[in-house]
Amino acid sequence: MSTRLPTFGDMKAQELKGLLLDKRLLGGGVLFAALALYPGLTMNAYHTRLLAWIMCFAIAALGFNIVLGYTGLLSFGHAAFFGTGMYTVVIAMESAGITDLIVLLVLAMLAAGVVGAVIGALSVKTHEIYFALLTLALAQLLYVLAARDVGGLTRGTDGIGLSRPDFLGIPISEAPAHIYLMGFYYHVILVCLFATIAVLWLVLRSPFGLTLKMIRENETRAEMSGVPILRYRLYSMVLSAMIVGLAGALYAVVVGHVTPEYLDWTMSGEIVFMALLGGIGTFLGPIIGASGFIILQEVALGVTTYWHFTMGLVLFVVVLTLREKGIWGGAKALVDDLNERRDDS
Amino acid sequence: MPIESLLVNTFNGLYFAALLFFASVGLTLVFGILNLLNMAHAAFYGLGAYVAVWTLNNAGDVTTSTVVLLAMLVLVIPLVVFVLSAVLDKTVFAPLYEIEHVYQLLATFGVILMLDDVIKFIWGASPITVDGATDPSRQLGAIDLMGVSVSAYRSFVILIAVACAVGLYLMFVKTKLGKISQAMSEDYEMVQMLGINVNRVRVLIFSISVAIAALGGALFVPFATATPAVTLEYVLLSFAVIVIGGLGSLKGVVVAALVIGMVRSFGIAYFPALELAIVFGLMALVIIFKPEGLFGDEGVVE
Repeated sequence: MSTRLPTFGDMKAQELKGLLLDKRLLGGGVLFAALALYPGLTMNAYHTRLLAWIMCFAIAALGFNIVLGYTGLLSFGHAAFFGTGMYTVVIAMESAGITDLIVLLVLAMLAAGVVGAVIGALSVKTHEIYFALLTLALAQLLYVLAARDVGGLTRGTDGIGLSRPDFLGIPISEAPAHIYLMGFYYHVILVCLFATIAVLWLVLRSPFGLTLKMIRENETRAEMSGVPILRYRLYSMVLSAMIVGLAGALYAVVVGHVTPEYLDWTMSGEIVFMALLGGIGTFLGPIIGASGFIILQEVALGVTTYWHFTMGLVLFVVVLTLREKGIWGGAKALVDDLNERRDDS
Repeated sequence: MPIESLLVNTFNGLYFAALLFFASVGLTLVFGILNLLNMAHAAFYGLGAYVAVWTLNNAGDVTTSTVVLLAMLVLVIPLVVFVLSAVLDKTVFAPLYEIEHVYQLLATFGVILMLDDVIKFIWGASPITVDGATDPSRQLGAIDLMGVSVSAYRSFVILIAVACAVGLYLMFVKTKLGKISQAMSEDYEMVQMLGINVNRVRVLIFSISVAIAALGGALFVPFATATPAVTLEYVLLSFAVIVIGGLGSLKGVVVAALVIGMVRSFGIAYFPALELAIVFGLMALVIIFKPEGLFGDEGVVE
């Protein structure tokens, strides 16, 4: 026999080779390694803290974009999920005495998921600005209840301080604060970020993700093809809420103090801002947006106390010029454009 | 005395309703007629408050006459803001009329952030209050209303709000500008094709709307402090008002402002912890069960 049939083993090897050579995966691996080694190599506590902060909000913006970018609904109430994540951690540690980080993160995701299911169930029937205003009203309701300490869980506007959680029974919380962050907690956030990216990459390319896109592009057609639209919107709200809740839970330990401010509508506005800045029509845009937002804020704060003005101006210009493309989509379009011109000449 | 406290709370409710009316009527008009959802609208309420504190505190050197001070609050400040907003409509807000509501919401969120810092840049971030000598609410004192002593100044604010609502109603029913505006809320392009200068109408409606918000802020400060948080608070409350009343309805704003004013006044008296929760709860319930609001499926003045 001269022709050799490709065997199963060969296929596997080839697929693996293709996978390894995939630019995106390779880039992701290099970035992960670089980020993981950064605190140890530089020993720069300020940068580590800033990166931890950026990564928390990158997770939040990615989670938020499931609803805006993929399902096409503008939520102005995602602070509810972020704040629920934060409060779950602090209340579970204080009242229930749970100190294991993994348990706390899972609890926070579940709690945010429940809040997401409730807000989602009430709001998925509405459209466009009504959806935005309804999510705003419901989240603000939660904020008011937390700020006025209704139910006696939140201690009102003073907020609650937070101690450091342990990990798998190891009493790591006894380490000094900067070692805890640089040697341990930073890496937990990093792993969570890359896990979120991987999960979303798979979910949004699954039939579920494609159905969400179909609903966004043409609701009537989706409905005619038998897609239960409201149920899919609800699923996307719950998934989004869980990821944003995870981000809030991670962030709670970074700041060490939870206040109702994190449930307020300006917090929702910041999450929307980050996703939009990076580009809601792109997969990686929200990460770029969160980094851009926080770096911009740090730079602007260093130069002037009037950083709100700078941020407002940037938001205004991005909305008017780049729209759903954001910085990331805009840059991609620019590169494509340049490539085309080079090919032409 | 329960009757007395009922009267006092009703009076305070009317006063809150008057302020809410000033803060939100322009928001609903700009949305109904010009199809612009301007989240930054209530920021001009905050701006009006700051301009008024500054004016009153500097007026002391020239005059402490109550009439002059009230005239400045009711006429001069709205007029100045009217001119300012005409300029803003031609510049900052002009490109926003072309984009979708959701993007309007986001871009004007950016405008709130900018205005917030402009205010902090001029007047600082710490709360400022009106001096006793030039505070018209102190000068006017109290009056007797059905056996209950109430603030004369608050009564004046309520009267101005009523006058403003009646004035707007008459403008829409009687004047050419009002009739064109109503037609624009029905069919913007048709009005344009009839050869009417829609841009001029747009500037007028936008500036009148913003000036009324500033008037509300100006009337608000003799009784309260001007702080940057005022803007954010009224952004939310004004959205609650226009959603409950129905987007684009003048009657809706009046009724919803009364409802929320009373809820706040009686809420503060009887359930202080839940007062704001009731407002946002109501807002959510209206969107869930009657998204068009109480009067949203009708025209601007029907």
